[in-house]
Amino acid sequence: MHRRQRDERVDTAQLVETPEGVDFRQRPAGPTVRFWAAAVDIALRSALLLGTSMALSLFGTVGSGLQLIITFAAIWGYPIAFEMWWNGTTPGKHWFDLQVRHVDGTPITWKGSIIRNLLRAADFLPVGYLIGLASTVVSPRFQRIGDIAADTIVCHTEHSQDLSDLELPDADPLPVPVRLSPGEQAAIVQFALRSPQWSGERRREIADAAHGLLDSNRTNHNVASGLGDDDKKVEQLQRMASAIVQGR
Amino acid sequence: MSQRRFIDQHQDYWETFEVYLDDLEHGDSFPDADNFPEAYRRICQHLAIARDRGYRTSLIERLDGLVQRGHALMYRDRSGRWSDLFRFIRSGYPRQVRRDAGLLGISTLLLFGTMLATYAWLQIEPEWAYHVLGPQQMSKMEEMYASGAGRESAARDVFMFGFYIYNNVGIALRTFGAGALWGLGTIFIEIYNGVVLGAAASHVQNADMGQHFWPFVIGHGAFELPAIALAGQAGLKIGLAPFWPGRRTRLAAFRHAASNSLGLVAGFTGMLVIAAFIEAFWSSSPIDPTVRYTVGAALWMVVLLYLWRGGRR
Repeated sequence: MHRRQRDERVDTAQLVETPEGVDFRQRPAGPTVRFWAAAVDIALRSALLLGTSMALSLFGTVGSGLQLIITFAAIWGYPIAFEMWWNGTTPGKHWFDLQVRHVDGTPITWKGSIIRNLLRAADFLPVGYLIGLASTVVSPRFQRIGDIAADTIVCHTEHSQDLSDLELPDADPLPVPVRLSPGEQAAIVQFALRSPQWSGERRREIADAAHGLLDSNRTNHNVASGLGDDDKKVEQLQRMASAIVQGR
Repeated sequence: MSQRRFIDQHQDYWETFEVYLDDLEHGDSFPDADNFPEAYRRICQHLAIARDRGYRTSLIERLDGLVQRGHALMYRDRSGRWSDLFRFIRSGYPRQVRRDAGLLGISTLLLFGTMLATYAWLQIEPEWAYHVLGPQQMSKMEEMYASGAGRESAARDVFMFGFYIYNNVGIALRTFGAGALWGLGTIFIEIYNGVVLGAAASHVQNADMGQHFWPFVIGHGAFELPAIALAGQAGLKIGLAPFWPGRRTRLAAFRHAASNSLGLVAGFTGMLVIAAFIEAFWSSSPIDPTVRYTVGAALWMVVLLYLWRGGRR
C-alpha cells in the first residue's frame, strides 16, 4: 500500500483531499478535551436517569421495569441518537466544540455511529477506558478502537472568522532587508495580525523564533544588531508586516 | 487581482452559497438545488485561488469552512428503507450468519462446550458447586426453582422484561464489542457464561428441582442461547479479522469486518429481545409442563431451521 508523504507539520491538522481537487484541513481532538466532553455527557445522562427513576418510582414494579429499559437505552443509545440527529455531536461534545465525522470529512453515518459506540465495550477494558486512552494516544488521528473500526474521528469544529475582524496594528513600515518567499511574507503578516491576541510573553517567544530566519546568510546587513530587546523584535516584525502589506 | 477586488467580486456569491448550505443542512431544498454541485465547484475554485495567491488567512479559513460544509452535503450517505429491513430479516441475516459458519462453530463450542462440560462435571462432583457458584448464588437458584412457576403479577413480568433487556442484551453487546481486542474479550465472556450457566443448571438438577427448571428455560433458551453464540461469532469476526486479512491490510480488514458485522449485531439483539419477551411473559406462566416442553422444543426447531435454511433458494 502506498504510504502518503510525511507532511512537515508541527500541528495535528489532517489533510482531506476532495474529488474537486482542493484540500481542506480538519483538526482531530486529543484525549484531554474528549475526556472532559465525555464527563459532561456522563453527568447529563446520570441526571436524566435519576430524573426518570424518581418519576417512575411512582409506578412501582412496572416503573422499575421501565426504568431498566430506559437505562439500557440511555447507556447504548444516547451517543448514537445524538450523533445521528444532532449533526455528529452530543451535548458534552457540543460544549467543547467537537464533532464526530468520518475520516474523509463526510458526516457520521448509522453504521459508523453504531460501530464506534458498540466498540466502547473494548475501549473500556480493562477498566476506565484504559485501552481507549492508549489507542487515542498512539493513533495519529487520536482515534480510539471504536473510531478505528468505524473510520471516524472527533474533530474540533472550525470557526470561520469574519473577514474584517483582524486588522494590522498601526506601525510605520520598515522595509524588509532580505528577499522573502511568499510563504515567509505571509507568516510575518500572520504574526502581525494575531499578535494583539497573545500575551506579551508569547509575542516575544514567537518573535524570537522569527529572527533566526532573518539572521540567515542571505542578508548583507547585520539585521540582528539593531534588535536588542525582545519587544523591539516584536515591533520590528509588525513594522515589516506593514511594509509587506502595503507593498502589494 | 488584489485581495480586496477578489473579495468584493465574490462576496455576494459566498453569502448566497452560505444560505444554500443552511437550507440543505436543515433538510430544506431550494429552487436552484440542481445548481448546487456547480456552485460548490466554484467555491472550491475560489479556495484554490485564495490559497495559491496567499491571501489573508481569515479569507482562506472562511472559504475552507464553506468547502467543508459543501463537501459534507455533497458526499453524505443516503441509506435505509423498510423493505430492506424485511428482506434482511427474512433472508439476509441467516445468510450472513452462514457466511461465517466457522466462527459460529468456534463460538458455539466456547459457549455450549463449556456449559456441557461444567454441567457434567458438577453432576459427577456436586460439591464443586460451592466453588463455582458460591453459596449465595446456590441458594438463590434453589429459591427460584423450589416450586413450580407461579405467576406473580403482570407488573412483575414487566419488571423482569426490563431486567432481561438491560442485562442480557447488555452482555451480548459487550461480548461483541470486547471482541475487538483480538477476540479475547469474547472468549473470556463466553467461557465465563458457559461455566455459570452449566453450573447453575447442574446444581438445580442435583437439588431435585429439575422439573421446575427445565420447562422454564427451554422456551426462551431457544432464542437466548443461540443469540449469545451469535454474539460471540460477531465478536470473533471483528477480533480475528486482522489475523486473516486476505488481500487487505490488517487495519483495513478490521474496519471491513466491523462494518460487515452490524447485520449480525442486529440479529442477535433482535433474538434477545424476543427471548426477553418469552422469558418475562411466558416462561413463568403456570401451564402444564408437557405443553411447555413441546412449545420449547418447537421454538428450538424454528430457530435452528431459520439459521440453517433461512434465505436459501
